[in-house]
Amino acid sequence: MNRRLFMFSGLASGLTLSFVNKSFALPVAPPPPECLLKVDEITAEATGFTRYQHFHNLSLPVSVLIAPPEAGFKIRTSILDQGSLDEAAFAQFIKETGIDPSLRYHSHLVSFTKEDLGRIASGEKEVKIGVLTPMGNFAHNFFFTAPPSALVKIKRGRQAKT
Amino acid sequence: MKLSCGRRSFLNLASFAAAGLVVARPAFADDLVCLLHTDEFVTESGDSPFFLHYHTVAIPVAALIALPADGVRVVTTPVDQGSYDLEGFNQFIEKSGLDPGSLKTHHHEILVSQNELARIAKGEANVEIRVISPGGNYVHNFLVTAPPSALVKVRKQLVKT
Repeated sequence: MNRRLFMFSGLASGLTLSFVNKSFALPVAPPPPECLLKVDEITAEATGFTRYQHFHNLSLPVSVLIAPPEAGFKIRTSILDQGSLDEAAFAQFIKETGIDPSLRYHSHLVSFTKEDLGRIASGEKEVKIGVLTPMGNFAHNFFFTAPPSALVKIKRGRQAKT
Repeated sequence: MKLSCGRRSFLNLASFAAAGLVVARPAFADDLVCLLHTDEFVTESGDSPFFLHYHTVAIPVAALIALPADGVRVVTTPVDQGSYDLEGFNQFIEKSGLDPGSLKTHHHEILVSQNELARIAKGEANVEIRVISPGGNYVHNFLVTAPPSALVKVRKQLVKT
């Protein structure tokens, strides 16, 4: 190996290691804030769960409101909002139920029927979408109202399809 | 200068490039499309007297807790491209002579005063924040209501202090 190649090789290895270290460090550092709403989505916040108050956000793409799928639509909520969790009630709940404390990072899979999507798309306000736990108990309600910009997109999207 | 690339230097270059992509990509993608992050809440603009269009603004919950004396400055999203009235926009451009490129993607900087922040933090619904253009015209309003999770965060902080 000549001197130039040796130096080049060493520099490249150093740079690579510095980036690899950053990559490995990412999971250890606090996670970046979760993105709760993107362009061309609508959002709602869950009502608080009664056993230990906590909240989730749920964002729904406008595209499914333009053409509600026959089979409905399933989408996952954000993870439990950490800053608004009732810590004392949560600790009590964990103690009583013996459930793994990682429950504080749970989310829910939410199902919308075609009819639910149609009601939101028609401009109906506060359309209630219920969420059950895996055991079938009540967990949350989301109340969806499409904002005016989404209603414009729905109207335009449907006109473009016809 | 003669440039030779052996197997080892090729591997070094390839792993360098791959590592760079891992670090750089998520932030770029997120900044382009995300309207709302954790510990913020969001509102869509109401009125737009000159041509129908919408913006979204995210307000940090931290501002409701700190209530800075000078208020807080927030920046709206650019014009929502999927919902603006193109016909109204073209008419407005014709009348005003403004630059269509910059108007089509404009945003606003809004000052939310300490008093407005305090009203939102108390749970008052539909607190009106009016947006005035640099030319002094009324261009939008935002009706702001803090969601329950934000009010819980405000209350938690009050209990701590």
